[in-house]
Amino acid sequence: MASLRALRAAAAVARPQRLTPAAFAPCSFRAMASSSGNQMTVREALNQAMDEEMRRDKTVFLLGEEVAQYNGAYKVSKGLLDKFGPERVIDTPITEMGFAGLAVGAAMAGLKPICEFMTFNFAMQAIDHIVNSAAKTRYMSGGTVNVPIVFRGPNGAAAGVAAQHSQDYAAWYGQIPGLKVVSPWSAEDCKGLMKAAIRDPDPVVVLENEIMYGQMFEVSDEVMKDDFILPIGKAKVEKEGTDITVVAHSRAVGQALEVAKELEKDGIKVEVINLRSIRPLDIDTIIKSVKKTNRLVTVEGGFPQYSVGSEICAQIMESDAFDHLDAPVSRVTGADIPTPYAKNLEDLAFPRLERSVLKKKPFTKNTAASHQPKSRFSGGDRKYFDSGDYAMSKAGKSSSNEVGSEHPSPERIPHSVPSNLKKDAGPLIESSLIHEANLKVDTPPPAPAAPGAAGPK
Amino acid sequence: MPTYRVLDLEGNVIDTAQDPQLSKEVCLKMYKSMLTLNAMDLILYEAQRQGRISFYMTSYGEEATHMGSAAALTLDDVVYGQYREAGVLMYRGFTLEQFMNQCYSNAMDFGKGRQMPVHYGSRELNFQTISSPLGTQLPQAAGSAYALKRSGKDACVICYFGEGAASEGDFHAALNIAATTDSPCLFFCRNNGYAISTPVKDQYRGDGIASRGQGYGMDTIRVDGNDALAVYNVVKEARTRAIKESRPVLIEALTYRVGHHSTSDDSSAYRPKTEVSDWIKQDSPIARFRKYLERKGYWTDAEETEFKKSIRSRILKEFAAAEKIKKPSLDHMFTDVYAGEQPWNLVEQEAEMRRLVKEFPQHYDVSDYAK
Repeated sequence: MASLRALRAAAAVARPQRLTPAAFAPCSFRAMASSSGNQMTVREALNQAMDEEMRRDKTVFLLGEEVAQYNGAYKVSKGLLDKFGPERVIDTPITEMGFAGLAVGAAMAGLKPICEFMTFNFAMQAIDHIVNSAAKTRYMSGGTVNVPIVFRGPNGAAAGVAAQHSQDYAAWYGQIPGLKVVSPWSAEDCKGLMKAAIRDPDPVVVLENEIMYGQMFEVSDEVMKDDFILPIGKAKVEKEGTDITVVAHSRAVGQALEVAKELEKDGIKVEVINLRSIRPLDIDTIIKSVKKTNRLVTVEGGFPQYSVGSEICAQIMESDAFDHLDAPVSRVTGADIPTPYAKNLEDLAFPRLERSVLKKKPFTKNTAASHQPKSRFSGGDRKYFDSGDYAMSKAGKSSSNEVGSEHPSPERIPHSVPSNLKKDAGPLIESSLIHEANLKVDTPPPAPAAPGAAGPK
Repeated sequence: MPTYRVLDLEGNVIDTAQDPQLSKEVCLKMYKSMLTLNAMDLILYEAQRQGRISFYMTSYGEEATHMGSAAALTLDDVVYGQYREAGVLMYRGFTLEQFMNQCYSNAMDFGKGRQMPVHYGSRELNFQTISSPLGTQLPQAAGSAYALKRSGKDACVICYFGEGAASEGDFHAALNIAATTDSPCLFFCRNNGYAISTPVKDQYRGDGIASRGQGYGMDTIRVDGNDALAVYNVVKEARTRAIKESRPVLIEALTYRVGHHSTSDDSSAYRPKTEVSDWIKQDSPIARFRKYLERKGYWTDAEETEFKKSIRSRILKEFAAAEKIKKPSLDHMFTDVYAGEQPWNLVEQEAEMRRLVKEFPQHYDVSDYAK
């Protein structure tokens, strides 16, 4: 059996190939079946999804750091504070375990929170609430308490933000029973899956991608409607092909499509599957495709060991698609190292799906990075950690004047003045309950910072 | 920070203006619940020692914090416990039968046999299922309180925790976020002197837990946790403020954990036995409240003897009954992971499990399982 499989692999390598340098220009992805002329960025899709669902259901509310007055670190929640007010769009203190915990408690009590993490890297501070409480409470309570909640935010590598801002958590959350996990790529994915996540009765982790926020997609009229929704747990065949199946999620879907387009010139027809959901995993779509193409490559930005690709490999091994494989499944993943900061090293730490890689990939060992000189996402400019404005500029949109151009000023935020300062009482406690404690202090509260006086974040 | 107190150690009211003048009915419900909790603890602790249940936690010495606070709340108020609040649940109406079924993890357990003993929960009584990780209930309580505020209900959340849990990051996050969202949440700290083996002198340096409330801009009070009436007054007033003014309140109840932390430790390894016996002699919350009741003419020696006897036999009866109930059905092993229809992978796993059980009866004896 082993030798037979090896033979098949060898045969596949012998496939005629013509190598030309790949030069990918930045482009907009077109939704395959659309000719409607509607255009939407991923950011707009996410914003629209939340807007429509908040309109539809009054129990839905958004909370997180800087989501209200500042419109979100990446401007995904732009305009929502004005539309829904401070009771439903809440700027929280900088405390992930605090606001994630609050969101879980609010969900247990009947609300539907959308809990934004500035990045999923920071959700590590709150993972106990996600994994130990949100995911397990329905089961542990004997089915009496449900936790309808959305945890969302950018996930995976951005650019130039090093190890503690670049991790992909798909495999982490994908392992937990009780959670649902989606990892959308396009504007269509983002709108449909975000709406599905909000309506879902269970906790859903929505893994967005920072680099995708500004990406423009053409979308159909259907996507523009306020009842457009995508099923969680279904993958989408983005491009049909007969020679090799490439399964990807999030940003890697775009990379796979680009390479597929290039390989088409060489007569290699790639079938690209956009996974959309990490958990539940739509293995049926992959099995069906593998039976047709007999070759499978998985692509993701996460680390290789116990990755989403590893799970797909295992499930394919356990399925009848195994007998249809002409070559071992190959995983293309991030390098098995904490993401380095230096640009040259960072570039080598993530999948670089240039055509030559894909051609070699299924038939060589599954190391992470190729040594290709250029990525379309790593031009000359470095991104430093000022998130939103950078993302806006990458999206070809300068920050508009009313958004993020100055530091939020307490006077202009109706709900930002602590209520105990609004009252006549001093800033400290004046409770008759503790009058013996003599806590009253005469010092006036510190003056709020002048508008624009505070330094950059 | 001083400590609020209504009764002295002999059960005399220090300042008659502070006597809440609870009805005989309420007083006796509180007192009988204390005795019942005590008796139940005794029997279930022994049951664990005999290997009949895997784990248990007693509430000895903290009965007044449970009943004093529970009596001041309504059933609309939502309770987030840490794990040592069985008395609160009992006062709200959780029956002995339900306690036993949970600890035995039998087919009648509300939790369908999925949680460790003493991790009680009751939707009907607004008592959130106990969560094992320390401190997670704190920010979640703030969230439930935020939801209550938005609903406009005449209700608040009470969240219990120990002084040890107050060292977790969750505590600080919770107080701050409850304060900034103006949520009606009562944070009730049972400062019982020990976090498992760690005494308070190794737990913090400031003036207890109450001193932290100021930092978060919260109304705060310290109360004698062995004085049921003082606890009642404080929670009653805090509840009114929390709901009326829509804000959290921090309560620190000073008490003493007479029992071991749980069945997993022996406290004589980290504190002298005389320390415990001195506390029992000097200040038992049950004895203190009993003296008050006797002075009021609500309770007699004869009633005490009679009640203790009858409650013991009732508990033993329920205990024996729970032990006889079958183990949880296999039907529920794969349910409630998600709402609605079972995902395909769970359907497959369940089918596989049933196949194995059926195929290898010599390895899987299910005769004792509920159908």
